[in-house]
Amino acid sequence: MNQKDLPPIEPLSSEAWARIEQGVFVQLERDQLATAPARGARVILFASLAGAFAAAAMLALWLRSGAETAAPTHAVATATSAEAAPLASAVTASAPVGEPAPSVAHLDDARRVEDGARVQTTDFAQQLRIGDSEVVLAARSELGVQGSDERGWLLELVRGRIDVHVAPRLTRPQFVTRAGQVEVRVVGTRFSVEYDDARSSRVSVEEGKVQVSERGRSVLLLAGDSWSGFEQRPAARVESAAAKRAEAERARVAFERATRLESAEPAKALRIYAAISARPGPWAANALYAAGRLELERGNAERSRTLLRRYLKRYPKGANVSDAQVLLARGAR
Amino acid sequence: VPNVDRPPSVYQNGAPRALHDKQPQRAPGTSYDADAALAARAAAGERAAQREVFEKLRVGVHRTLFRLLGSNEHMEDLVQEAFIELFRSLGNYRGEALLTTWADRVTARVAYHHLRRLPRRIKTSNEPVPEGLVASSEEASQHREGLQRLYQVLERLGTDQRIAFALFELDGRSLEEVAAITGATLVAVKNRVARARRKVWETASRDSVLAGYLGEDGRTP
Repeated sequence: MNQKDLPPIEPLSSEAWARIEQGVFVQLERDQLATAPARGARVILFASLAGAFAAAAMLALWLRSGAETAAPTHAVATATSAEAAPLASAVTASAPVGEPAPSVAHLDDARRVEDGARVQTTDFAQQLRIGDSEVVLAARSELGVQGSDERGWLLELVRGRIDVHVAPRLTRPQFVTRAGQVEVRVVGTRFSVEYDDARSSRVSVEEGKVQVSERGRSVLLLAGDSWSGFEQRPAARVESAAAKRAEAERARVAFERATRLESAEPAKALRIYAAISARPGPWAANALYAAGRLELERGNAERSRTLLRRYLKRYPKGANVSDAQVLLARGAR
Repeated sequence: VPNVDRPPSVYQNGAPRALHDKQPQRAPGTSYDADAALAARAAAGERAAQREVFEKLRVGVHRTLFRLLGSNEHMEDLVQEAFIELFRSLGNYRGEALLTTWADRVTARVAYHHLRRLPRRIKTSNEPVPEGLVASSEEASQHREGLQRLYQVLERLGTDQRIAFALFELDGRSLEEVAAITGATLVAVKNRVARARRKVWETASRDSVLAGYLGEDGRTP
């Protein structure tokens, strides 16, 4: 079988890889806890002790604060609620020295989080219930929670990602998610917010609509829309998920057209590959690899080497890395 | 071990890979210490090592499954299944082969069970291919159609033959590698590839699209 007959390996989307990774590591954690009951028991014991300690601390704090008035809805949290403390503690307090903290929180169903809680996740996502809304806090994320159903909720995403399903607010107080300078106000919807260490935010709306504000500017997002903005950037940009899907589809059609043209009009096929690979998208890698392969088949070894090396540099974990290396070696002969 | 006679027009640009080709082999007694150390840490439950193993192997696992199955259908489930199997048996890895080769072995086993679970399609290989299906003005689309036909032929093969053929012919592995991955002897692998080839050629003799894909000038064998 000749190498050139083989179609490129169709890549899996980054979302698919994220789902795979999540599934694998959740299962791994379950396996490890199932095969190490003694360690599991230690984790529960540590979590319980930490919870009890936090509850005692809260009681002392409450006694000391006496008749202080309740904190305003959006005030910075200074204490962790007694109910939320075991959750936060269980994640961090049970780690043996020198090892990453084992997360046990994911094994439970949604946990209720109250005013003042700060929740961190390590390797696994955690499902939270905040009032009558549901939040999934992704792995390696941190979230502060303030408010109540009566006063409204403020979620402060310190880092990572949350997926939020908010019960319809109607006349109830607002549900606000803050990530850096970005605020997301919802009416009743399903959406997600990401905030990374590079201080960039991203909001994606699955259902309903949300209003996103940053530095006095605001934009209304509808279902299927996503928005991303950097704090240092003067203007945020709105990206339509539908537009991105359409772009990917156009690239796929163009890619297939180029493969059909390879025999009859290779120069044209190469131009199409170049155009696809110049734009971001899931077909760019395939197009760049295909251009390198086609140049080699046409006898343009130098040009092929350039393209294949560019492919390897740009997509070091690409699906056709080993194919590209084989072709590079072949071209060097 | 029988030598395989091959009709001269079947494979593009000359002969298919000879079944007696030898690949350079590692000197006996050496071990892949770095891989073994990484695997030991991952097997002991070190999360960072497990993530490193995942990153190191994920492209290869996907690639092997894609070549064996021909598409990304069921791929998410299968990659996940392969990695779970892989991590569960990581404690048995002693650095006797590259970690990637060892992962291929696990992946091939997952693919094997998946293929065994799939319902067999109705056999149509003995029927002449309808002209309407063959007619296509463009060579490239015929190529794609030909590849589809090839995977259809593979679906009618025994699972062992299909895996050996796909790894050797479609993924470019050496016979020794295929033997290591499938856990079969070299003789058995040669036989499986040879039998699979014969069945592919037989079908190609009645299917001009497949023959066109396999042979440069499209002549049937």
